[in-house]
Amino acid sequence: MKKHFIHGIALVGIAFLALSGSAFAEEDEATKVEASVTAGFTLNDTNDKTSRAAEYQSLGDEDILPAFGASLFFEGGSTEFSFDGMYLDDQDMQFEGEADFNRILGIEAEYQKFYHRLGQDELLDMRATSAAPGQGAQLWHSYEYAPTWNVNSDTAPDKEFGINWSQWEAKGVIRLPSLPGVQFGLSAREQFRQGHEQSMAMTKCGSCHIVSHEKDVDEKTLDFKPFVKADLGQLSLEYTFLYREFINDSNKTLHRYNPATHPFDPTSSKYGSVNYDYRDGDLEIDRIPETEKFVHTVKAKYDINQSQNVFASFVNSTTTNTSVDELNRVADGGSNSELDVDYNAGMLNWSAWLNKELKFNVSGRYQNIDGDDATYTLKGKTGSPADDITYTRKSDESRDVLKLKADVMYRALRDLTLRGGYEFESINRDNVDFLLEKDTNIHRIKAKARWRAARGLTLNAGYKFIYDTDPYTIEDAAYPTHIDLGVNDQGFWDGFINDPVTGRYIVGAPRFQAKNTYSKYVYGTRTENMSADPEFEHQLNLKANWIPTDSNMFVDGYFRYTYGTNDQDLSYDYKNQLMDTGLDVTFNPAETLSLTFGYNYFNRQKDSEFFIPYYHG
Amino acid sequence: MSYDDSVHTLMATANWQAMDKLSFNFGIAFSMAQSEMEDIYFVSDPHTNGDRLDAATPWKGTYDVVNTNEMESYSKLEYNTLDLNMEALYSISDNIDLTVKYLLTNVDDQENYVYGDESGLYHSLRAWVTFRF
Repeated sequence: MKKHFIHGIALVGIAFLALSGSAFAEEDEATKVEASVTAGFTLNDTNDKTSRAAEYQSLGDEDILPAFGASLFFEGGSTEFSFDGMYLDDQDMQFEGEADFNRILGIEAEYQKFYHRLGQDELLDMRATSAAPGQGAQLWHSYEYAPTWNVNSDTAPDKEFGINWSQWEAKGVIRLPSLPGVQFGLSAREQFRQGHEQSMAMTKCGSCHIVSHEKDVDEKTLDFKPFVKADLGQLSLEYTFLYREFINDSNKTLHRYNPATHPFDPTSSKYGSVNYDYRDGDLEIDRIPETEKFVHTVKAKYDINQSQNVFASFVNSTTTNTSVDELNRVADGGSNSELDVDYNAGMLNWSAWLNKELKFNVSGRYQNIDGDDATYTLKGKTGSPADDITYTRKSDESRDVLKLKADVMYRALRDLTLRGGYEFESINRDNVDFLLEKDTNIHRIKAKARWRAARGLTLNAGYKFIYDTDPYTIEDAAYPTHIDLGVNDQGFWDGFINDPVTGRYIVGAPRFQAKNTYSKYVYGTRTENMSADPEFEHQLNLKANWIPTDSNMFVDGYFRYTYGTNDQDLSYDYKNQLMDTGLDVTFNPAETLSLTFGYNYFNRQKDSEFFIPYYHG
Repeated sequence: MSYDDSVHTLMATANWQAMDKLSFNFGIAFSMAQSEMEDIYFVSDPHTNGDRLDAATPWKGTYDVVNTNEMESYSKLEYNTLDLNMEALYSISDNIDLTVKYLLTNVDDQENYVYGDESGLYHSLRAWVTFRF
């Protein structure tokens, strides 16, 4: 450590000498130049794990490293130029600059790079069973992730993961003197994420059997965004086109599934009624598909007069999964159809001050999302092509959404402002394979008041009530009954069962035959609905700002409380409450000293049902 | 099942212009976070007596739903985090500033859950000279 310090001090001295020889200055009435150069060092140290303590710090090692920075501002005639940057190491730096030439051409650019450390899920706490190591829900660290690891060990391999994140973005604007009020622009952004992260996959039956891999990450997002804006007096227009491409150059993460043997009879079917096992060889897992997106946005605002305006916008976008062809391994269950999502939305807003005290705002928005269906071909019970099961999964995204909103603001007194509003949202889903209800209507009512109660004291209070007529609810998600399972009150097989294959009530059914269809016995016997969304929700917001008279103190207090319930079509109690409250006190005991103290408390409680029906964690 | 998630955060900052040429900035934040699923109660039926799910088999009842009731709590998180930063700025001359900064983050993980024991310490001493011209 001491050696590093000496090196650091020497480095600062060298930087000083270099700077003193390179200083320059040039300034006259027409030209202004300001510049600075920064040089120094960082001395860094870590103990134990770095994934949280140094989550966004690349400088985690016990190293002394040089640090450099520079800034420049130039103003000459009609030209301005500025630059600012700091370099800590090759994984942590930031630069930004701006230039303006005679207000005709404006350019700004920014580059940022940092390292994000990621943790490793040890996969040791997912056991839903007391079975011995290597069985049941025990974890299997294997393959290239930890090839020599003892899978029966009760510890995890020591791995460190992290992503090098970098991004540059630039924007250029042209304002032609011959076209006043009109500007043409182009912005571009490229984001890179490179490194390694933990990848997990189910290895055979359900979510109890999990395997972990080290996943290569080499991803890039590119945005290309030309636009044109026109301010034509009362009318303002804007058109923007966005092309976004997500490119995934990561090495494939491969997984070989475990033998499918239990609890099914390995001699009665090739795959024991699961879709893959080791006989399929290495299969690719956990890959984000490449996508391409085109977005057209048109906005228009018209000022009817000084107190009224109308705003309208339209958005059209198409997003395409461009990896379908590459990943189209139909024989392994991949989709054999294109996957596009089309989005169209229109919005209209009218805003008006009816007099000095009363303001109205009315808006409406309509959205249509149309996602392609995905068709899969799954292996049947024997693995023979004759038993293949082709399934079309309809898009959950496809829907029409209508939102209508009205707000009013009223200055009741000089020190009292009241606000109120109502919002109606209607969601009409195209497909409801697993949902209880296809459509839902949401009503939101809100009221707010801002009161300057006394000199130095301002109080804000708000209340919002939300009623969701049909919260997002998965149908038949839990709770098989005795009859569904074919067991008596003691849990022993009694043969009285609703046959999972035929759905008919039968007496004296042999157990194994009745339960040999995994999907129908495990999933098919559930009869109760589950939801994580509230049907009714109350939101309360309180805020106070206090500046005591003749004091150097500022006090801010806030309180937020949310309470939600859902009694609809659920056979269990649902409750969701959240509280977020805090107090900030700023005190200036002297002109040269400022002190701030703050406290925040956040609490969320959610009562719901946590259910493991059979096999599943 | 009840999911309870709570965080207490205390913070303080101070800015002091001690002399014309010397100023100090100080900031400290301490947070205590807890999160856990509690009151987990399985109402499922132990219907798997027999077959290879039976405890008498070589698989020792691995898949018996009785064994899934081992889990009394889930997703336990409890950690304290201390963030500290101190900065001193001294103007050596009109054109030269010296800045010294110290950063510290200490994580005290009291439940070795999911990501293991994430207790750790990071600290960094940074010093630089800015020359304006």
